[in-house]
Amino acid sequence: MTEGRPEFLEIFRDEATGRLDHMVDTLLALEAGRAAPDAVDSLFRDAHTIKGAAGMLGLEEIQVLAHAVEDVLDGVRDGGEFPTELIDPLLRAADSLRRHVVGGGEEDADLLEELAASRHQIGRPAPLPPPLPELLRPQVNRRSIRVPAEKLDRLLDLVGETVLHRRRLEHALGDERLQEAESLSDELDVGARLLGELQETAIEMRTLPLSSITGPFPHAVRNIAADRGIEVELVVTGAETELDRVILEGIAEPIIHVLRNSVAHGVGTPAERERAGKSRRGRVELKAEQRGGMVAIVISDDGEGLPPEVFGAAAETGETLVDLLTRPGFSTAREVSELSGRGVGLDAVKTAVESFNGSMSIESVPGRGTTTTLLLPLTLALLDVLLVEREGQVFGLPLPTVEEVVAVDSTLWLAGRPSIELRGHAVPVFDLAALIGSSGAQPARHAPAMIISASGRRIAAVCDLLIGEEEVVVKSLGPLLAPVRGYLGAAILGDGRIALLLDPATLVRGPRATHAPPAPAAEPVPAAGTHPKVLVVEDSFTVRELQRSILEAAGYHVVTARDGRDALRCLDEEAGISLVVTDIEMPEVDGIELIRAIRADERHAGLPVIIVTTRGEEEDRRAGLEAGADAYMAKRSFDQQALLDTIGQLVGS
Amino acid sequence: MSVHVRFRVGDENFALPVGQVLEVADLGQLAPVPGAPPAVLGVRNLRGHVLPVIDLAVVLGTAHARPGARLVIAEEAGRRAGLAIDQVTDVTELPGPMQEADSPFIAGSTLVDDELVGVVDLEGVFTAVQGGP
Repeated sequence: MTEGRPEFLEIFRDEATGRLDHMVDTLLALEAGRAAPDAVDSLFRDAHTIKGAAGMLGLEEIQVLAHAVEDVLDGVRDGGEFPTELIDPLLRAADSLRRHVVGGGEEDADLLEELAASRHQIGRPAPLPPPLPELLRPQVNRRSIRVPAEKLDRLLDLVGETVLHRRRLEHALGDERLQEAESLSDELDVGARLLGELQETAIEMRTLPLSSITGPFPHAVRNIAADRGIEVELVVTGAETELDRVILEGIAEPIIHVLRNSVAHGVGTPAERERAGKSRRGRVELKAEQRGGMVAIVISDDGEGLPPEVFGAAAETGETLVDLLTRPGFSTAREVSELSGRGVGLDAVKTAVESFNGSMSIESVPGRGTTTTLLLPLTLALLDVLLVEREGQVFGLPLPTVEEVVAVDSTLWLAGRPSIELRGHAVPVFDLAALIGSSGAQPARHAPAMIISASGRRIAAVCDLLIGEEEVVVKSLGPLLAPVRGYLGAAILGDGRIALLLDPATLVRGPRATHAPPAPAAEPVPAAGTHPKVLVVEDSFTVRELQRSILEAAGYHVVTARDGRDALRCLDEEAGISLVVTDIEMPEVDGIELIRAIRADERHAGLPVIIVTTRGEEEDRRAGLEAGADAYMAKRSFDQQALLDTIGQLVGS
Repeated sequence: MSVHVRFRVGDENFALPVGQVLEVADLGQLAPVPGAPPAVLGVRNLRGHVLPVIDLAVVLGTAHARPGARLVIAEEAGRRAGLAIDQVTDVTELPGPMQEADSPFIAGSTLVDDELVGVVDLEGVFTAVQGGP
C-alpha cells in the first residue's frame, strides 16, 4: 500500500473534494428549505464514503472527523426532520475536513466535542422538506486521471510538430507523384484529419468545468453574509462551462472577491431591502456561459446598484465604471469606500483577468443591482492572432486588441512626437521594432500600422507587412526567458518558423528603449505642380550638403546659406522660398537672430522655419520656439524621415 | 570521476556532466527575442518545443568571432536551453581532482591531454541569464 500511496492520495483528494462540495450544497439547501427528500441520506453516504477511504489510506484525523459527522447524521436519518442548529457545526466540520484533505488541517477537539454533543440534542425541527421530485443531478463521471499540465503541453508540441512533418512529407513527395498515386494523397488527407482531431482533443484536455472551483463558493458567501447580518442566496448556473485549467486556478480568488463585494456592498441588509420593497433575502447569481470563443463569468446582485456619486464621477471624467472603480487612489478614497466599498481590490481582479487576455466590465442599474462580467478566453492554448512582419521577423498580436489596420500616409507632430489622424483623433504612432526594444531600418512609406488598444490606451504600431489572421497554439518561452517583459509566448508557424506573441498591454506603454521615436513614412506634400523651395542655413559644409541631398532626393528645390547673414541675403534675392531649415550656432548672425529677423520682416512673417541643431537643451528649444520657429529638431536624434515629415506638414496645404 | 560531454568554444575547452545534456543539435534557425539579455541569441523550434538559445561565449567571456554552429541542449532544475558552442570534442570521464576556477560560471577545472577543461556551472549560467541583461 505504501508505494502506491501518493497516487491513491490524489484520487482520494479528488473524490473527497467532490463529496464535500456535495455535502455543503446539501446542507445549504436544507437551511434554505429546498432540499431533496433524501438529503440527509445523501449527506450520510458522503460522510461514510470519506470515512471509509480515509481509513484505508491511514488518514486517521479525517477518519475520526468523518465518523463524528456520520454519527450526527445517523441520529437524524430516520426522523425525516432536520434540526437547523446542526447545519452550522456540520458546515464547519465539512470545512475542517476540506482543510485536512488538501493537507493543511489541524485537529479540532472542540469541533469533535460539539458534534458529539449535538447528537444528543433535540432541536427544533426544521420544516419538512417539500415533496420535490428527485433532484436531477447530472451524474459526474468520476473516472478521471490527473496529468501534469506540462505533459499535456508536450503532447500539444508533438502534435504540432507532426503536422509540420506531414507537410514536409507532402513537399518531399512532390505534386506529380501525389497526382499519380491517388491513394497516397488520400492517405495523407486522412492523416491530416486525424491530426486535427488529435490536436483538438489534446487542447480539450487542458480544460475543466467551472464547477471544479465553485465548490467552496456557497459556503464563503454564507460566511461573508453572516458576519454582516445579511441574508443572501447564491445561485450558480452554467457551472459545467469549461475553461482552461490554468485560468481556472488563477480566477477563483478574483471571483470570490467579486462575490464578496456583491454580498457585502451589493444586496443590502434585510432592513434596507424591506425599505426598498424587496424580499429580505438577497440574491447573488454566478453565471458562466460561452460567448463566441470566450467564456463570460457574470456575477450579479439584486441590490440597489452603485451609489449615484459613482455614476456622477464616471460621467464627469467619461470613464467606464471599471476604469473608475479600479483607478489607483479612487478605491481607497475614504468617502467612496464608505459609499460603496466596490473598488477595494477590484484593480487586482482586473489585473488577473487581463493577465489571461480577458476583459472586465461593470454595469449597474439604480435600484436593480450591479453586474460584473469577466470575459475570459476558453483556453490559453489557442489564440487568434494577427501575424505581421517587421525586419524579417514574424510577430503575433491577440486579434481582439487590434482595432484595425491603416496605411500611414501622413504624420502629425507635437513636441517631437509623431501621431496619425484616425477619424478626427490623434493616435500616437511608433515603429513596432522600437516598441519591443529592437531597431531597424525605416518602415516604408504607406507602411501598415495596427491600431492597438489595451489597458485603456490606444497606439498605432507600424510594421513592414501584414501576414494575416491565424489561430495559433501558444507556447511558453520557458522559465529562462520568463523575466523578459512584453511577450505572451511564442507560436510555431506552418513553415516551422517561430512567431513571438506580443503582449498588447506592454506595447501600449510605448517604446522600451530610449530610441528617438522613429518616424513612420509620410509623403512630403509638394505644392501642386511645383517643387517647393527650401533654404538650408548651416555653417558646417558636411551637414549642409547632407541636408541638401536628403531634401533633393525627396523632390525639393534647395538653396543653401552659410550663416544667418547669408540667409537673409538669400531671402531678399531668391523668390519663392517656402521653408527655412536652420542651425542655431553660426558665425555673424546666429539662428535665433535669423528667425527674429524673418519674423520682423512682414514679407516673411508667415514663412515656416525649422531649427535643426546640436543644442538639444530645453532652454535652447524654448528660445528657438519663442523666437518664432515652427519646429525644433535635435541633431543627436536626427532622423531624416522625421525632418521630411515635418517639412511635409509645414509646406503642405 | 564522472562522465562529461566535452566541447570547444573559441580556443577554449569546456565540459558538462552528461546528466545535464539532453542532446546535441545544429544551431538551427533562430528568432531573436528583443529585450532579452545579450547572451540570449534567440529561440528556435526544436521538434515543436520553443527552445531559448544562449551564446555560451558571451556568458563565459570567451573570445569568439560568431556564435558557435552547434548546440548543446542542457537542462537544470526545469530550465532548458541550447548552448551555442563550436564543436563537441567527445564524451569522456574527466579525471579528478578538480581545481577551483575564478569564474561564477565554472564549477571547476581539470587538465585533460595537456589542455585545461572547465566544467560549466549550468545553474550559474542559467541564473545569470535569468537575472537580466
